[in-house]
Amino acid sequence: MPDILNLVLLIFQVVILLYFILINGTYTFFTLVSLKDVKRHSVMVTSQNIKNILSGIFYKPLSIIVPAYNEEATIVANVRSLLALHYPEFEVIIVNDGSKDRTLDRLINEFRLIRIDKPLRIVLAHQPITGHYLSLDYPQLTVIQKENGGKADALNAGINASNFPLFCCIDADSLLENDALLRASRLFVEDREVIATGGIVMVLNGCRVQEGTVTEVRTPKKSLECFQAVEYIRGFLSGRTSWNFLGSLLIISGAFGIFRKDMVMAINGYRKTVGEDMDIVVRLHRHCKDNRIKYKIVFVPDPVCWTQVPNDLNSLLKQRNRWHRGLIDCLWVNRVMFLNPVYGTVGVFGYPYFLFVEALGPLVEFTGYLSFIVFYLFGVISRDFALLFFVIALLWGMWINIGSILLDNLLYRRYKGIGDIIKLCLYGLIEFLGYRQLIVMERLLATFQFWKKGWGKIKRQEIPSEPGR
Amino acid sequence: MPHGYHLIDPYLLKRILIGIIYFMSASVVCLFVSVIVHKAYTESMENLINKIKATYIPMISRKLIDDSYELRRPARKVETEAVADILIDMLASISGDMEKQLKRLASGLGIVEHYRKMAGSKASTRRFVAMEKLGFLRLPELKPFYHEVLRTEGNSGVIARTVLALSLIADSEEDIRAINDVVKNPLFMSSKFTEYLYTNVIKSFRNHTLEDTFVGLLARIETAPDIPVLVKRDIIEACGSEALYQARGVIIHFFDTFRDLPEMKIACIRALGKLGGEEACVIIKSCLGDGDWRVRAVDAKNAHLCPDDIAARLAESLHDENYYVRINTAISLSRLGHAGIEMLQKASNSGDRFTRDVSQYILRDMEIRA
Repeated sequence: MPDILNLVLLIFQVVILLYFILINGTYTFFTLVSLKDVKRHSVMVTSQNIKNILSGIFYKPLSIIVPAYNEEATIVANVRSLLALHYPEFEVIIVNDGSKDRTLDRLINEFRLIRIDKPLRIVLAHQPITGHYLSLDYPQLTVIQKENGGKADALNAGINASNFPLFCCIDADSLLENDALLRASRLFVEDREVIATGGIVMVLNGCRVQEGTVTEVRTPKKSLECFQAVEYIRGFLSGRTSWNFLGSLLIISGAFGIFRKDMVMAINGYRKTVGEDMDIVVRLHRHCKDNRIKYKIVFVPDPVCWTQVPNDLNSLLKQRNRWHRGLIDCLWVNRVMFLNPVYGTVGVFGYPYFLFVEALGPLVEFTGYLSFIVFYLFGVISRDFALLFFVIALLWGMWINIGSILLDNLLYRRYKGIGDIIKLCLYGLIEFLGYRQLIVMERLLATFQFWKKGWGKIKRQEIPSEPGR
Repeated sequence: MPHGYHLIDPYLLKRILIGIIYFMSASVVCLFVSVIVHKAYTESMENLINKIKATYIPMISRKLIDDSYELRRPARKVETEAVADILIDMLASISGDMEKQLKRLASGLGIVEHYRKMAGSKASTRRFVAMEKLGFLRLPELKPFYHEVLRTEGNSGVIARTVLALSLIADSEEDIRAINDVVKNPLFMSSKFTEYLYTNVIKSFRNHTLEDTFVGLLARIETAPDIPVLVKRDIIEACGSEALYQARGVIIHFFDTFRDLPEMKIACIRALGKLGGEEACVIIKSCLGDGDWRVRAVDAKNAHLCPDDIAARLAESLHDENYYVRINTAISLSRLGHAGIEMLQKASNSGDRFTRDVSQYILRDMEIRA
């Protein structure tokens, strides 16, 4: 009997070890792959190339859709930032999704909105629209007031109201860099197969904002926000660039993505779920593969969207809980793609990775932590081995984080000060000492709450915008 | 490890793990140092480039005024590329004699030589950048070089930059043929890119006062069997975007030839809408009842260009089954002046809910905008 128990314990440890190697190995591989791809991209997209778009006809007009729910703290700065974007032809559609605060009032006062009953062509289903407003000062600004139905519902209403062939969805607590739209939409006119693109999302907290535009990039002040800044750099720059390189990009951040409207309409728009950003991309893959449509879904690493990350633990945990539930829901709804060669690399690599590494990851990781402690306490593993293994795990995590920061710095140099870079590196070094375990615990909890549909109330902060000089 | 089973000798395992720790520690420290050193290096490079630009901008400006002024030839790569950027930025907003002077400078300062050398690189990204920079310089003497690159290059990105460079200086049938050879590939770039290339071509022909030559070539393209219809459509769109009035007759001919293809009809109506004229109105009137709603929608959008006797005919389109046709019709009516507004006011009391809603909306919109 003890022999069998020992064998089981050994197998268990080997599984955990292999899993640990798989996760860290994948991230290491991603960092190396991204280096090549991002470098190529940054060399090829010159500022003259971007300026050229502004002066010519080489663009497709687009509609920016901003779903807003109780966003009175951030909505005005957000709309101001959108109206200041450099793009030859665009409209901004704010969909006020039944906010209970003063979101609509603030918009009406700030942008001199006038109510108008515009007939809409309802192609995608959504909750009833109760008001349609135009701005007296900005002809390209439209506000739609509707009954609450969630973010996906609001986006569907925005798509119905949009006039252009491309639409960009952005969150109401985010700001776009002035030329972000030019950079992200460029691919739609350079490649006929592109149906969706997403840009990099970075942490706004700590940055200096003037009239809705980020003028100075600084690291956040709070530790919680700094950890998230490191996570965002790692997740976007290494993770998404690599999936893009492998042709299996499954997520375009809800904070900033551009889509071809006809394709999104063909799949009946957004599905009501808490992870609508991943869901729409997975269903687009599925639709195109099912109908043998040649397509590309692309991550573009240089257009930047600045987003406010939660600055209190409660909001952060709620956000991560929602993300994880969204992930599980999306994978479940599209389970037909799992290891299905019909769906190409998405079905064979992308989907299984997201299932085993992202969705089930917290479960395995938590089991690993727990068993490590239990085995150690019961003397199943030696103290030396436990310590050595722990140090390796820590160092590998640090390597990945610093590698991502180096990658970001190699190519974009967004953080100008050396002090900021050192601060980020230090947070990259200590992320694995507590912060990561906290997030793993919340995601584990979310794994067992996957049926829940609620978003959880997240505390919003006002974007501290200074007047321009 | 459990006491009973060992996959590997514990002593050896310990040694391996310690080795890994040493390696990883060293590598984390190296990465950390690299981040800091690189940061310092890139910031100093940025300062250097700014300094070079700050030195050269007044020197180049002086050279433009005083041709006898001796301009120092950039010695290092970083200097050459910084000066190239200055010239490209200046060229984007300068024309006439100064443009010619700047182009001469590009050759004289070794910039063309630098990028031509770069265009021979094995790395496709370097070739891409070289062709893009050369293209922005718009140097007619590089035309044979571009033709040569198009014959030999295999990378689609570099081909796109080369064909773009050629489009900026195109002035002959040979250039058009070379461009068409690239864009006729159905997988090449996008329709918008083809349209963009042709807007450049038209501008270039116009700069050489060769509009009529271009129109002659356009007439030949109409019947060219090897050029796909969709490329022909993109060229027509470009004629509209560039307001090439001389092409009006040929566009009408295209419309007659391809009247079975909605895409071509739409392109012709759009282009004629931008060019105007009586012939455009004849076509617009004839398409208001087209079987394809996309044609009707584009047609309705341009209908306001016709005399206001079209208002009565447009009032019928307000009852169209398609949303876009109705809304475009209402917008056109609102731009037709008194006759159109009268029709909208009448329709705003219509028994047809869709017609009523759209008319009321446009009238209200006019009121707000006023």
